[in-house]
Amino acid sequence: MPDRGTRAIDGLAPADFEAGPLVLQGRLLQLTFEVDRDMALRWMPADVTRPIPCYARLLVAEGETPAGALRFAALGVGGRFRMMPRNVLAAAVVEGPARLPALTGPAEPGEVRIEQVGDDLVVQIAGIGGALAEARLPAPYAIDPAMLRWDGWVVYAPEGGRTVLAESPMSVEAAAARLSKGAAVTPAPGVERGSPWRQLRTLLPISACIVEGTLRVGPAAVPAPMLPG
Amino acid sequence: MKFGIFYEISVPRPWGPRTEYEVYQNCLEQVKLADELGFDQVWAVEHHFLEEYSHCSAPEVFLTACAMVTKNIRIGRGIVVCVPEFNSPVKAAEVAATMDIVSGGRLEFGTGRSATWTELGGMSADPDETKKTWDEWVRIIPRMWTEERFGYQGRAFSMPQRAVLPKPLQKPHPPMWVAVTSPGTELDAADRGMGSLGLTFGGFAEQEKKIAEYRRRIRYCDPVGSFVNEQVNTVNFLFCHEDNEYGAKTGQRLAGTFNYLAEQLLAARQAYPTRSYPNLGLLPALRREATSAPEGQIPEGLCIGNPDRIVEVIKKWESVGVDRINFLLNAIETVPQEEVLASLRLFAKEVMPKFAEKPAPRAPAAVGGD
Repeated sequence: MPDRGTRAIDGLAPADFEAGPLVLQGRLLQLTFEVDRDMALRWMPADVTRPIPCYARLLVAEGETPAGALRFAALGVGGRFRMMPRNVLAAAVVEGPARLPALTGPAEPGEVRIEQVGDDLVVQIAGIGGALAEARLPAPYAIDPAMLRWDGWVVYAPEGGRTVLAESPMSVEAAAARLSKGAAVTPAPGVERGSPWRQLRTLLPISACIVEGTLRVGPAAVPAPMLPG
Repeated sequence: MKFGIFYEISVPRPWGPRTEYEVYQNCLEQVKLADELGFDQVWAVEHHFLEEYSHCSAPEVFLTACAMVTKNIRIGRGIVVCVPEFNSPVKAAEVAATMDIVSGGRLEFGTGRSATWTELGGMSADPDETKKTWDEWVRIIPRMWTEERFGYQGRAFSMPQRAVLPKPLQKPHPPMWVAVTSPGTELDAADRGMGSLGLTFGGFAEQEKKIAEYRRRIRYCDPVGSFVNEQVNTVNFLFCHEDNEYGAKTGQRLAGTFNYLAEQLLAARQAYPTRSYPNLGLLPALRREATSAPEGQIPEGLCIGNPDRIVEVIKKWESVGVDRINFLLNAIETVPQEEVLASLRLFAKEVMPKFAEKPAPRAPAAVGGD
């Protein structure tokens, strides 16, 4: 049967867990890229099975939320939770006065910058300790937003004094969309070896999109147990 | 109605030194028995890199072995991936012709283009291109079989004039099929005069509509080959047992295991937005079908349970226009080999005779010739 993740989840739920939803109107980017199998399993809990091949997702968004302006970058590892494709949250950086509900967990304050460099779009992500990663999306071109699809996220939630997995559904109302081929996430040189930003770096680009519209993530909810058999 | 068997050749972990050998031997034993019992066809997929789900990357070799241990069963190459990073059209035509010769004119030639990023990415193929290359290949391969010398200047493939050899035993050539996983591909099959090799398990109502449209469209087709192969082939799970409850339970375990493995794959559409793959293909259809029945009930279209129940299900498939059903018999050896063989025997004894009198439409291919 498929490989299961190896990450112990005890203690991963944040004390100030906020189920959300997170609603943001503005611009979002999503990169999908293949990552190393062994590294992916490290960021995947045992209730999540690995896809073939292993991949990660980087979601970057900037815009307005009911709580104010917000920029964030969330890094997740692709997995199958309850037989459904999901992004398991591994790291996040949030910038701005607003908190990051629904994707709450390992978020740290920092900076997220999206810049146009020639024909490319470049995202710089930095945390408290400095630069974490750079994402480059070469020469995006317009596509029909209906071609895009979005997987929900798996986050860590507190329940009865322990940590459990919760699902945050994700949807996007897109007014316009662009696609980039060959987009990659590269860790910053100073990022430590154990960081998800280093371990979940791009081995093979798959696809990346840029969307103008409304992002909705959450509310995060703990699913009912599946019946055996 | 004709019946066949269908192989993904899934191999369970842990992979010992002989695990794949044992699974392949089990499959060959099943094929030999199916031939003796009067099953009409055996199909094997071409998949690459799909851990556990399918270790069948060289189906032409497996199917040749099948041909060597059988006498009558037709040999379904299902499917040749018509993408240059996977195969070459010349080699595909040559291998198919050789298989047709060594099997004594028993080849069915399936075509397709892969539906997973797992494979397309692994082969460095561009998902935006696969439909175009498939369309080009299905038009030139029958010409390679039928023209003494063939030369071509095309979009994705060109070659100077050469004799592509050998030529198939079946004249003018083996029946051609298209793997249908995405909605609308059955119309691509119809427009080209090719058989619809259905690989999804959609319910009766959905299938009836698709088959009716396929039949309507194929009347106006421009066939890519030398004849129209108007046939609808579908795939199903089979576990037949005297005890209906045991049969259904085991069959559902088989279907559930297969679906669980399928879900681990990365569909092209899931990761790579393109018009070439407008939906998720096989995987969601499988999941939907496996979970479509209320708790405690069997999903409507699955051929699992006792012979009476399976006869009822097949009559429904027949009524919506299906000509052939191919059965998946196992998934990562979930069902013990002896039970698989017993299921085949019981099906042949109790179910097949109920459908033996109605002649199914056959491809107009004639075996032999000069």
